[in-house]
Amino acid sequence: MGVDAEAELEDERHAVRASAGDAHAYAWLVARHQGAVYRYLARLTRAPETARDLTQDTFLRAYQAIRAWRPEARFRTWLFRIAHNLALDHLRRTGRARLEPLEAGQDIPDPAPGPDGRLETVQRARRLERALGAIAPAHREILLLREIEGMSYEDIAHALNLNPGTVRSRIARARAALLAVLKD
Amino acid sequence: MPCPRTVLLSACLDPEWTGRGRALIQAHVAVCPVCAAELETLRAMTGALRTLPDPAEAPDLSHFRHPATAGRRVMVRPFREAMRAWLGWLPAGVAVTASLAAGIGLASWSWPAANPAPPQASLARFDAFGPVPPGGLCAARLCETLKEKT
Repeated sequence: MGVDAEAELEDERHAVRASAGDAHAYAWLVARHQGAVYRYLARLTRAPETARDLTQDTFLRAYQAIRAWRPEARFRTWLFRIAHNLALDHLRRTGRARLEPLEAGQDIPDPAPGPDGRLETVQRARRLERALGAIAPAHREILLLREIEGMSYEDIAHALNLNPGTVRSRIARARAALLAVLKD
Repeated sequence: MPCPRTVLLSACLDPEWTGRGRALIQAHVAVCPVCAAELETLRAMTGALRTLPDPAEAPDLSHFRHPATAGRRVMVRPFREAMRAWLGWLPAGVAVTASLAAGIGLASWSWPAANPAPPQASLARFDAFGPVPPGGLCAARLCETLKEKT
């Protein structure tokens, strides 16, 4: 069994226990997924404070609805669907059709251990973050799920409520759009 | 608008996309250095996306770890929002209650009459069906008087 499959199975086990009222199991799920949900929301909304609130709301909604969760749906996908819906509501409410790119250097921690490659890595990360901020939210969102969260077409289709054919074409267009921004 | 060629090439990066379309593009890439270079650029870009560092300042929702506090601290925001929503209706509620109370009070208030009603005439003197005939002459007494005379 692969690492991913094992992790998924572990998720399902805890989700089943959490849906039966086990608070420890739900806490385990929160600890496991809070980073990924925040990462997705922070890049999608481009507003760390909003992303923090939305992350909290996502887990609160999931906590309230966990009894309705069924093992047919992957817990992680189900969670991202909640996060997606909350982010969409937020974007509609605030009327931010196009979101601002991050300021240079904002929210990009220094990841490189050595001094030589550090500058290049940080600059490349900034360029990518800026380019991500410049493409349409729908494109950004699908790229975040595909490239950063590593979701399959099927999971993305479920999380974003799209059919798999649309997922494939939207991912392809999103990559092309991102590349076009990077080339500018 | 993104270049349609790039869109088609991009789909080749996904193992889920199979079939004739993929085979045709791969056959083309094998003989076209421009498309091969573009595909390589796309591959490098997606690779770079996967290695992006996580955003800083992630929230710590560790209070979920304790069942005794699970939900309690998280409920702070929604509870405050609910209270704010209720308090928003407070002025309207006060106004409705005050107007209802004023209406009931006005309806039950006994106002002093401006033109007092004229005193009603006594009906005693028009008592035509009483046992004593008009003039106060009782027939029974008259009969007794007549019997005594006879």
